[in-house]
Amino acid sequence: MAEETPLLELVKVCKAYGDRWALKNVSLKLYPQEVLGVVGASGSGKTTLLKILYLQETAQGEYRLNVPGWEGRNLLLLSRYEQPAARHYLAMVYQDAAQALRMGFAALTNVAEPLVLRGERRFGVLEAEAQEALERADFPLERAGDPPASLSGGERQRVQIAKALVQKPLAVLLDEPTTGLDLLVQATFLDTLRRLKRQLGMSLILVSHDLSVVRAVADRIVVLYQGEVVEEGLADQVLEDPRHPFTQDLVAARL
Amino acid sequence: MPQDFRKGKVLQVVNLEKRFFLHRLGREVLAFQQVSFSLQAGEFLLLEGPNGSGKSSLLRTLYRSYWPTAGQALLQTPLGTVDLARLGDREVLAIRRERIGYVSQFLDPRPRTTALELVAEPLLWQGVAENQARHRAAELLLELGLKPELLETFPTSFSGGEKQKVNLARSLIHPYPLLLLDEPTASLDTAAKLALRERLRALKQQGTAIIGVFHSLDDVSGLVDKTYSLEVRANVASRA
Repeated sequence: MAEETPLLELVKVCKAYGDRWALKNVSLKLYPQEVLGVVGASGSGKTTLLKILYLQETAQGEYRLNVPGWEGRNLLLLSRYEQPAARHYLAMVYQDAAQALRMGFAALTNVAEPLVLRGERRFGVLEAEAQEALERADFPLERAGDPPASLSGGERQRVQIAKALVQKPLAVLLDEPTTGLDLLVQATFLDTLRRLKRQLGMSLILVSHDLSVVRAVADRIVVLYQGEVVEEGLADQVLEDPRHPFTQDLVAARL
Repeated sequence: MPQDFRKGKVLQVVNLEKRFFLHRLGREVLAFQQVSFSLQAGEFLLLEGPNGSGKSSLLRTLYRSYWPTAGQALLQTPLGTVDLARLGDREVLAIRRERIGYVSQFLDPRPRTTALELVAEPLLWQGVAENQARHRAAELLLELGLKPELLETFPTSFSGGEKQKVNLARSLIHPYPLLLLDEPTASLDTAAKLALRERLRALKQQGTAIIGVFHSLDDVSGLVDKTYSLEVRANVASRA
């Protein structure tokens, strides 16, 4: 079968803080229209990995984006003036919405902000695109004028998704997006992710400590343990036939 | 509908083996070893053996939910022969979507997905239009005896038999060249068993090769072309 071209690819990425390794030789690929789950315990390097992917953190190794104009370039070697252009292809959704949203401004304003930063000034366009993104994120439009400070946890995450969507990214990175949400809100949020993948053909990297959350949406799963990828496979393989001791413990501990 | 699998060999399994390494217990468990057989288009192979002889593990290994630890499983595709034991994850996904159907003993219902959506999904992967896919999904579910009022509800709340009907329909809706059936009739009522038998007969005529585990042979009477006994093979292997 023909080799597929991944959308983005990390090759042997290493990151140390002082004399402690946060990531050791991490390689992974994200393919178009794929949800890649990254599972690991606290301190396994999940957040560091996302920061590197979002170009917020330096690292050794290679990071490639297979997008016209960027082929063959190692994003880890970009100057900080080049980074924003590469970051355009990506969007990040944080566990804590306050990291990404202006909590006192209307949801709609929050969602439109990336477009303003990209130079869009026509009010009608900003409003229409932000509304469309909110709708795709299953956010109740009648609350589009409310600031995130007065929204529930699940609604805030939907505003974050809309803010990501409005940028039309090739891949969305999600850092523990459902941690702290109650089970029903979590389930409907995962529904939205599944639908976005199916309807928009989006690629997602979903990072979570919760194997059940990852299982619900991921096509493939990468298991991080002490900064290393110890297991990688199809979602059902990793859950039904885990091979690394850590993954076996993780699966056995699943509720 | 591609006609490429109507004739010839579909699958050749050579010395396939699966062991589990249970790190916490420091032990190795053998599921099966030295399994070899071949399967032609339209053939029905019945797997035999007592509980724990590795029948389900073999099916899961062929579907690559389990990693084989040795051997080959050569599947015929329009692009040539591929070894299921060595394919990369992405290739396995593509092969599953196009060429292998798998019915587990139990449905693992995806939360908040309706019966109709679950069954229509494999057709959407094949590029069938959404309303046509839903129509065919409804037809098949009703044929298997699912109550019409359940089509648009969530299988998480279904009875065991109703779940199994959804599970079956999801794997039968597209005529895969290879179909793996792991005791699909255990929780079915008589009418559904008969409907399944007729459906399998039709699939066989279309060229689908089937590997199945069935405890009640009545459920597949007139369909079985050959049997493979896992227990006997394992004994032979250990004596050698």
